Amino acid sequence: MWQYTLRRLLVSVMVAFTVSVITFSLLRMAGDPAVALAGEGASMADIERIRVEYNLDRPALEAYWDWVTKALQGNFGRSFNLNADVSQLIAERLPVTFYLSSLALLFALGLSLPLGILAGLKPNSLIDRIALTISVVGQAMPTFWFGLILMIWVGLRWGLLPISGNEGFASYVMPAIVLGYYVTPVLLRLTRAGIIDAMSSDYIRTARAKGIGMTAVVFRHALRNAMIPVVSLAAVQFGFLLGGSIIVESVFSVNGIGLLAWQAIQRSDFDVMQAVVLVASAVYILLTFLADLLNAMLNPRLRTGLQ
Amino acid sequence: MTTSVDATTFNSGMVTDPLADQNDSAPPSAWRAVLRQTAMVAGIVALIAIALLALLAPWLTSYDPYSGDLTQRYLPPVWHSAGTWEHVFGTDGQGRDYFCRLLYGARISLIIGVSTTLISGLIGTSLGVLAGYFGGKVDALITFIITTRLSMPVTLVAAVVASLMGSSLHTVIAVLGLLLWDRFAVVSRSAVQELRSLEYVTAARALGCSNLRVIFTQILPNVSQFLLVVLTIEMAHAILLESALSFLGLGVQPPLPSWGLMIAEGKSQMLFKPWLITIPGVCLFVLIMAISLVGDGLRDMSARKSTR
Repeated sequence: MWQYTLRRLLVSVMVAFTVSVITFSLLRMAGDPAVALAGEGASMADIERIRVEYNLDRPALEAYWDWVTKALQGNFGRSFNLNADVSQLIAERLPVTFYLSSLALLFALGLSLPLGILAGLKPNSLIDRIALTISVVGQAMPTFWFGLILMIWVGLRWGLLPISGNEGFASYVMPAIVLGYYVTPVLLRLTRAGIIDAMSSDYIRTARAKGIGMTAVVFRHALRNAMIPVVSLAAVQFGFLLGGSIIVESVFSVNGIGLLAWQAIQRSDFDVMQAVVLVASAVYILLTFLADLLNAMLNPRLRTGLQ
Repeated sequence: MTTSVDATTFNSGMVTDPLADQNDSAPPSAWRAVLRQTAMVAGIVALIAIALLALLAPWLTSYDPYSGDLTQRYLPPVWHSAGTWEHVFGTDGQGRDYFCRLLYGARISLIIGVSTTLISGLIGTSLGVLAGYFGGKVDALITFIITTRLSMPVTLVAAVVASLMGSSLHTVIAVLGLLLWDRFAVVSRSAVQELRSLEYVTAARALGCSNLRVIFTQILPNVSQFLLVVLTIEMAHAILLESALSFLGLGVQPPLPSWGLMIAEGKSQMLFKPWLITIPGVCLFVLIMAISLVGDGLRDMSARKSTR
């Protein structure tokens, strides 16, 4: 187990390093940030001043090293527009996005686990058809549009929930549903497939033959095995939600890192963009690392490298 | 299996079969098979209809998608009490015919879907086939590249890069094409790994066929059924992402009639003129649904073929 953990950790660090290089170079290659930062109608002197201030006059390698060492110490530079340290902005906004993503995942699991289990136990039944419809519709629904439709009906017409902001639990309900429904289809299908697989396996047949009741079999044996991939997928999806939050947070004006990123993009706030991409990737890498460890603990075959 | 230790170092949860969650391991039943087939046919019909509407747009409407009559702003659609047949879906804030803009908008979605998947399919399949066929160090390297790509949040990266490069239709295609190749790579990699050890591939090699020849004549034709399924998934993904980016103002720019952009433009009026956002949204939904139905059908067909 230790060997596996170490090996996996090494890979994660290498991936994180590569991501930081890519993030850095992507943003440099995509245009002259000094010109974008200076805004329209800036003089050459202005652009030159910004170039020096943002280390853009230095060789790329040197500038990268400077950026990444500072980032590792928690210094992501400064936001011009919001006049604050980027690290402080991220520290303020990240908990909001975490909270939203957790609620979204809770909603997704709350919908997909019971439905997936029931659908898996009775394939081709009415409940299976309902589950199928929910997942097909979820796949085809544009998130931002679903958000607007909820806003019109639940928020404005019926006045049940606030339509924007992040004051209190109620304002998180609609964004969480929209974000959560986005990941529901994958979780639902995986749960259903897992249950069908488990129920047709030998150990379930043995358990049933011993005379153990259906409920006990499902809860004690089938679920345990079917849940392993779902748990690790859920962890991965959580990281995915962080990246997807840019859409939902912009629609509902939830003040998390997604909205921060969107505002930064609109105002060419360079340091913020870099930092948000890096932080979101880092969270994803950490989560998949933990999910893999959990998987390896639950499934010893993975540890030995035999897939 | 001759995968080396290097390659299995990355047996991470991310690089497992991404179609696994969609596999339908339910016992086959008659009604389900029929339903799936009907659904696929419906999907194909809808896709052809949308493509025809997009292609024939100039003959189907006499309006201009880019300029409108400012005296005819925000006219309601025909089912509304004040609607007229002159503007079936009404007009937008600049007096442009909504139906006309929807038709031209379909072109944008289809262009995005096709060109993005062409780029990403080429990149992903090349990487996946190389990794699966050669194994060892090549596999280790490519698996690492895939893992790295998966660690970068697509929506966020696409939004940042597209805006820095200057948002336009071309930028969106380039950015999404360079980002959405991961599933192609993962699926072709694992499919080729299985194929590589099969007898006819060994036979072809024993006959002295070059690697390139084996890949093109023996491997690719047998991977294509899986790649076709991935193609539908990524096409839907690309179209949804384009609409989201355009909605955020970071994708296709006005006056182009992207459906996502139309929703963004209608947003300020959405409470009293909900059709402005409902209609383009339904169009997106129908297009994505049609593509996924075709994908589901193709997946069923390839699953049945492999169990036979």
